Amino acid sequence: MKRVAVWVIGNMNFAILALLIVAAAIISSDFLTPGNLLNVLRAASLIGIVAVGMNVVMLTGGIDLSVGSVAAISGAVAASMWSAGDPVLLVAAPLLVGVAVGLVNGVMVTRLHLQPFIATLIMMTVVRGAGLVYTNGQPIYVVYPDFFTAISNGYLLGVPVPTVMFLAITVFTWYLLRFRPFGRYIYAIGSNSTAAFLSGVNVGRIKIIAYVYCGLLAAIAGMVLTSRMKSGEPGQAGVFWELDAIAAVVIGGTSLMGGKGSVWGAFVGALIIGIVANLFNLLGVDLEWQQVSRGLIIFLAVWIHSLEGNERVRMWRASA
Amino acid sequence: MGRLIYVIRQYPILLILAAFAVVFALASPDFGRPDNITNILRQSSMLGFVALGMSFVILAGGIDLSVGSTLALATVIVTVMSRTLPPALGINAALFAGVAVGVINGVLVTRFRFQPIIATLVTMASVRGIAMVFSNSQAIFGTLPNDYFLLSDAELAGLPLPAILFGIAALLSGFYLHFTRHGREIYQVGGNEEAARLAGVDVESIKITTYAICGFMAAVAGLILAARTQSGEAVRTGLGWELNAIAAAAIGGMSLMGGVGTIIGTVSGTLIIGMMSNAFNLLGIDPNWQRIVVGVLLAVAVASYSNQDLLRALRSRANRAAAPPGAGAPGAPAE
Repeated sequence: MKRVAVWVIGNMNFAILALLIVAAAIISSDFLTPGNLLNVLRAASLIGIVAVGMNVVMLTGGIDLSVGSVAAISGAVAASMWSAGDPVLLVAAPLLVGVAVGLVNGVMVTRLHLQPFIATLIMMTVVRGAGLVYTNGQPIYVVYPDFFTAISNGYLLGVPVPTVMFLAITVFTWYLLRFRPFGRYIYAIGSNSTAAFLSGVNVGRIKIIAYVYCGLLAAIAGMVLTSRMKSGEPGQAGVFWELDAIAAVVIGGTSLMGGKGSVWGAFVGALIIGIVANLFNLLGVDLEWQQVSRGLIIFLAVWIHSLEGNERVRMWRASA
Repeated sequence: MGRLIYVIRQYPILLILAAFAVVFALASPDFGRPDNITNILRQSSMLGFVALGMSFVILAGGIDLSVGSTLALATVIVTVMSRTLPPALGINAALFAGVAVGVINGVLVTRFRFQPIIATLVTMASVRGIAMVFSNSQAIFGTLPNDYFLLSDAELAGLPLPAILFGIAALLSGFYLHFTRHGREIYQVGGNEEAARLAGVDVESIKITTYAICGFMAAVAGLILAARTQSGEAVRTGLGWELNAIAAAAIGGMSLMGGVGTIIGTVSGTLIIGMMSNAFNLLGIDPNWQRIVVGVLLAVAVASYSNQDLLRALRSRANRAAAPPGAGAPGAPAE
């Protein structure tokens, strides 16, 4: 029994997720149907992909508020590239834009010494404005080629493609963070960037790569969104994604101070948000109370995670 | 004259503010007209209140993302309660709600040890939800009495009432921060929390107070907005105001690390943002370009604050290059 409890505290994320799934299945008989579960996974995938990138940046002790604007501009760029009929640029240009914004974020944080919150707040405004200027403030409607429509509507072995991408990106990022020097440097910088610097880690470059990675993933999410909407919406797409992504990451237990947390936290956090939203819809909960509960869910999750650091809980775990 | 130079050296932001005013006045003949100035002041005072409150929180090393939601809640409370009750009651209830949100933020940060961003993300979501519950997500029109609109429309000695209230609030804030023990302790907590605690400062109550002040100020902004729009609305009101308020404080030289910054800076930052959007509208510039320009301005401002040593090095190199050989570098120790 005690061993179970210790495992639960050590793997709080998956314990919460399992508990939530059981509770949801009991509350609503419609929840555990395959169709509904695929719906949940598909809906959680977009924010999930963004949250994985956010998680990497937050592990360095930073934050990226520009992800929503990047998703919007990447969708707008994709739509305008396909309007011009170029399938290579359709894929390459949005990704390049994401990388470029991430690069600017990283340079502002590391070379100009702006605080990450301010630097990415600036890019959030500028990139949103740039997207609107680029399209003259109008959405671009397009009929995408089949391969591009497939990234939002297709299935791979019965699983929606966005979900496959989400899972693949999470596993790849986990591999990077867990087994590659780049990932270990990320944790080193987040725990103590001075110590990392003195140990010979190129702190500036690693941080820039983290922001670039986050921008790239935001651009990918933006491409999935534009593929689903069949339009590039520079003004409406991705609004508040940064807050949803941050919520997913902190629900998953990653600390804003950096250095602590796993990318599976972002994965589980996105799923938790998705499951709760789905459950509320199944039960017909008012939009108003859904909004109230959004805050309470973050509160509960962060509070539960704060127990992991609690002195008495730690002593108890050590004794087991 | 010497006094003026002293003030400008102390607060270079005032010079930037004046420079912007001159440039805009030259660019657009309508900019300097009295009714336009009044307009700018009236528009800026709402963001100004939020930015003032935000300054307290930032100075103590925190941040408050919930101000936009608090503002929306205030507009909803005052309009809903005015259906049956006198507006004075609604005003007090809205202000009380603002303080309550602030105290909850403060308790989450101090007692629950939440990061300020996370704590106020929680209230940002939930407080907007509560406002939506109160208003059924509908805009509420026609409940406020005509007298209430004076809060936005009245003018005293040619100045709009919201601007006068904002001016008074700014003066009180500046006085409080610089001349009272509690105000100095806010700087202390933001500068070095551990040192402040060891010096006997009650860090927790200081932090809770700053969040309470911020919530109060956001509620005041909401009350003025309700008078200006003659309505209350929960879903869209105040979206993004938290970021504008943070931008105003940052343009004014406030550091998000806490402990550095002034009320004069925040007021100037607010006015710069207000003048800029007004002038751009007069000049017919695309609002989307405005976002880009404000972003670049913010980048330049903050980058120059955070790279003072780099700027100083550049300046002394320029001086050395300009000085005749053998004159010695300025700032070299005297013989």
